[in-house]
Amino acid sequence: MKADQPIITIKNLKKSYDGKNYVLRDIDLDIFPGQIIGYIGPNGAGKTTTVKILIGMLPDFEGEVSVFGVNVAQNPLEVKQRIGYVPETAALYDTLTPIEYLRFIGQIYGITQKETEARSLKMLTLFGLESEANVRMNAFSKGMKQKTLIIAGMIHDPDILFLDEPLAGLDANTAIVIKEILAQLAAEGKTIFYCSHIMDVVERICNRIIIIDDGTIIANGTFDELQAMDKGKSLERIFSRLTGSSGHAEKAQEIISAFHKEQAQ
Amino acid sequence: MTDFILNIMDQFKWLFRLLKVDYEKFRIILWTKLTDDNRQEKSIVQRKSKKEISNSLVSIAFIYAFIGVMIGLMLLGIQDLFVSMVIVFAIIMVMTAVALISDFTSVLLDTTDNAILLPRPVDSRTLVVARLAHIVVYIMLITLSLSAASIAIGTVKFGPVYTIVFLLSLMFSVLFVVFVANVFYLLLMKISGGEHFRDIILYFQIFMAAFAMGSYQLLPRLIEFNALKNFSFPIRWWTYLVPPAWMAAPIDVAVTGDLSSPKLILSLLGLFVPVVSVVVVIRFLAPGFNRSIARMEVEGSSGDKDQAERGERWNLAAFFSRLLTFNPAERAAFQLSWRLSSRDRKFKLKTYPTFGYMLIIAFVLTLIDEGTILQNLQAFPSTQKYIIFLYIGCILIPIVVLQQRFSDQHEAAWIYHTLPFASPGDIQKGSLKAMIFKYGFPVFTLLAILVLLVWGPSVLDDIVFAFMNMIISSLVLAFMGRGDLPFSRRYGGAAERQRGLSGFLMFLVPASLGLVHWGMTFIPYAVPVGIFVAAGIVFVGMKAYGNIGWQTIRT
Repeated sequence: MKADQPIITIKNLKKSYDGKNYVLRDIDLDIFPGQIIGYIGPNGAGKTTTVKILIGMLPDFEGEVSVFGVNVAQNPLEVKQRIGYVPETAALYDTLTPIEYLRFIGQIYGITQKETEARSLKMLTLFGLESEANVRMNAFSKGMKQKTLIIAGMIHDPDILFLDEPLAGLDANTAIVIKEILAQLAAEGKTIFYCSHIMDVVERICNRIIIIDDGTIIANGTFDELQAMDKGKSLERIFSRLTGSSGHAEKAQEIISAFHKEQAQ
Repeated sequence: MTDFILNIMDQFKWLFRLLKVDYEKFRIILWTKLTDDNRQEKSIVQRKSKKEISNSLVSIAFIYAFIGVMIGLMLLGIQDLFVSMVIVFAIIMVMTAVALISDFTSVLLDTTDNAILLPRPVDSRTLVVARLAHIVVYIMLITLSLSAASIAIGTVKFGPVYTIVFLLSLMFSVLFVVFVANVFYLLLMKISGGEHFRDIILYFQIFMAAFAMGSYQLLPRLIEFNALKNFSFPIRWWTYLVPPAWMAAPIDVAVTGDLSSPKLILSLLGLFVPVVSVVVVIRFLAPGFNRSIARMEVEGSSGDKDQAERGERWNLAAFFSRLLTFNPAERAAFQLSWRLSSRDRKFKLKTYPTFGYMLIIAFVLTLIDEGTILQNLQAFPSTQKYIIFLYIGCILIPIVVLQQRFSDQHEAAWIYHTLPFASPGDIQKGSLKAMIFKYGFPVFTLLAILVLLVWGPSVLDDIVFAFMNMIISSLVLAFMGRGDLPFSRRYGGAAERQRGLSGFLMFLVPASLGLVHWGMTFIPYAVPVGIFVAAGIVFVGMKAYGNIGWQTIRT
């Protein structure tokens, strides 16, 4: 796929779970190879729903979504074969060891057992988990599980990597390594779709930022473009203004006063 | 064990491929699920004792094997092989269906591994077949246990041909049951979504558990086994609609050589209907099924919201907590336990069926005298059997008290340890009151109305005395489990496995109190005096229960 051709195309995407209320309304988007997309929005804005549609987990939606030029609704398997996904919650079979789990994931992608094991061991070593490679994950910390999830999302060398809060639970050094990995993958032409609430990380590693609020895209551009709109403010401030959530200091004051009042009573 | 199962599956690789299942992916998913089950089970056991390698599945298999002996005895008692086989397969198929819907629904509708499997390149068909195969492995174990005695007795009586055909019929019957369960689930999913679907399944499970217990108690009393001995039924048009007859016919044909056309038609139905069912499930129903499960996960929260809003509108918990508790900590615990107990599915599943079958047991116990059911009912007012009814209530509530220590969200109990409760006694007392009032009071009122209608107002003092004794029984059980805060222990964990003495006392205490009560009815004024004594015990007991210190609480 050429760099000037979109790798993800979304046209008039709408999604409703109950047939009445729409969580996504008329989303239009083109994403190009090599981009690191920061997909941000308040809680319940529609971020996870968008990702689930893009990775073929939610087949019922209105509009047209294609990834690698393949219609996701019609041919989800072809898309799933070439993408990686790291979910927000540590969803894994934690009675297995990392090697067993990664072997399972590798086989699903059709990678040979030998190859999977070689890749897994290499990645586990790089993530500092080599001594735990054969230890069952139910004794793992949140960060260790997260590292395994990240490896599982990348083991088949996907062309697009979808990440939902991937740095949650990771120590500072690992977080830096992950950010570096993402930058290098993008330089190789891979596309990264990064959902997060941590604004400064998005600001630093993403070369395009999309803000979604109430199922609608309200901003879409590079950090510099968004900054130009808001006279040099940080992403956090831009985000707050665009999503209509201003007056944080006043709100904080109100909350503290409410506590004081309760205590007085 | 996992490798053995997978080796068997490997023999049918061609069949899976014929049904367009991606066998390699199917195999690795099944391996993962079985390994996960196996290790989850062992990790619980290992914490208790490394030497003790027990397996709940093995104990389930023993229970079913025991029931299977009863079923197998029919082969010795009933002359006509076809009749005995129809009965054997009817029981096996019904029990399998019940086990599938009541025990394996959670496995079939498990959405926890959706996040692992759905983003991967596995087609819906392979995914559903892996889910079904995972369940069929356990279902086969149940059916084999159920039929072990029938196989053994039949093999001795009729030879190896019987064994082979019986096993084939058994396999086909399991496939058919799985198909029926699938259709049942899909229909339910069509008419209800998300949480409502789970609620319907829950109430179905509760009904089935009570029904199974009721049938177990009542059927042997209603069926004239002697009449079955020489019974043979001619095949009518409707016989072709009875699935156990399809499964029984090939055995009859193979053993007795009866090649009459009705038996041959039934045999063909036994072969074709399950095969067609499996094809229908895998090729047509599977994709819809997966989609519905995926949808259930995301729609889940809306149902809970509705329920929560409904709860808030009535706010019975808040109303009664103000009446029955004396300090804010106790009130908070009362409200929390009241609400959690009505929203925790597993709690409902573990306790609600008991209400159904305890009432059935009450009826059975009152009808064990000689004479017809009608005669027994007419003689009721002149007996003291109201004590049995009242004390059934005394057994029910301690069950709830015992169960309220467990929850799937047991980890959330950390909150008790971080809040500034001077003593956990308030939490325990508030929770106990909530259980007694929420479950004990309505059940007891119902039983009391029934007793008053039959025996009249003269037994009013007995009702009050029994109510006091119900609270005493609950208090004894609560004291036994005083180390565990409400909803703080894991289901299936050591706490649930080690509650042997509590489980024993749960029946012993109310039964003993009932016996004392019965004895007191022969002494004038003993019951009214007993009410005051019991009230005193309740008062002192509650006070003592409220004084539990943090050192008693297990962390």
